[in-house]
Amino acid sequence: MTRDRTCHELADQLSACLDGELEGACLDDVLRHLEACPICAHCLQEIKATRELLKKIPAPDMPQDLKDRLKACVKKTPRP
Amino acid sequence: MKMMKGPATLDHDVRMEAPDQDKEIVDLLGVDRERAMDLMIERYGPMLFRYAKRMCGGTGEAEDVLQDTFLAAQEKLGQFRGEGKLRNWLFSIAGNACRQRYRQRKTRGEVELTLDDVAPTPEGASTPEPPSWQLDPSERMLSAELTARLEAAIAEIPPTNRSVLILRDLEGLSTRETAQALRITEEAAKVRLHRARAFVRNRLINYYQGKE
Repeated sequence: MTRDRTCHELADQLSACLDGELEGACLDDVLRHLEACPICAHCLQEIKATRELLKKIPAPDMPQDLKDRLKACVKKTPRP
Repeated sequence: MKMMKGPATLDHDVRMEAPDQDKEIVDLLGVDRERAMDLMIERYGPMLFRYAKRMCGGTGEAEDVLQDTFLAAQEKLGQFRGEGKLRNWLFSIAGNACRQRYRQRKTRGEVELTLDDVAPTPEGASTPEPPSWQLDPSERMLSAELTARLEAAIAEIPPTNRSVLILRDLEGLSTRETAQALRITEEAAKVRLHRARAFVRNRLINYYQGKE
């Protein structure tokens, strides 16, 4: 019989659960705990919302001339 | 040369790009090394720049990291055997370059977040409602203010956790690819990612509750 696991023990598994990276008994443990623990269930919702926000952050642009400067630098540096 | 133009935010299916592009670069090495390096800079420069800028905090430092990265790549390209993707290999070199900068600055780059660092806030833990800042699925863009807040939160994450968050959630690498690029176990990658997300979550809660 699988013992009940605490919020603290399972906390680090929440993102893996969200990302579909848990399997078997580990997944069962987490899902069972989430059904019983509104705090962790809410935490999972928050982590999911955070993940979705992070995905939408615009990508910082690379300075236009940086590629050219990098190419020039690589060209003029002697190879071993 | 075909220029790849993507949306303002990243499509996280970047994994689809790699095999043919890597092969083209690797095949060119024996024929036209200069062209191979040019192609590598064109294709992987932008994502490495994003990574370096978020890891080091400034454009100038990011440029230095990129220079170090591509010079090292040129020197070591003969050692790339094609196990894994060229992108992951380059991220690994860039990560080393960033860590060297932390050591030079005597910054504690190896500090990791603990669970206590990212425990849910009392206010956040007490409500059964979905977070008030949960994004409406129909919203396509973040406000400038929210973007700035998120970037500020990311910049505060210890580098050991931040690197995983950037590669997984911002650059779209898989757990396996992230672990390979950072030379850590997949389990470590999962734990570090969760704590980094939780850190950002706590910053968001504070922001939305007007504490900042």
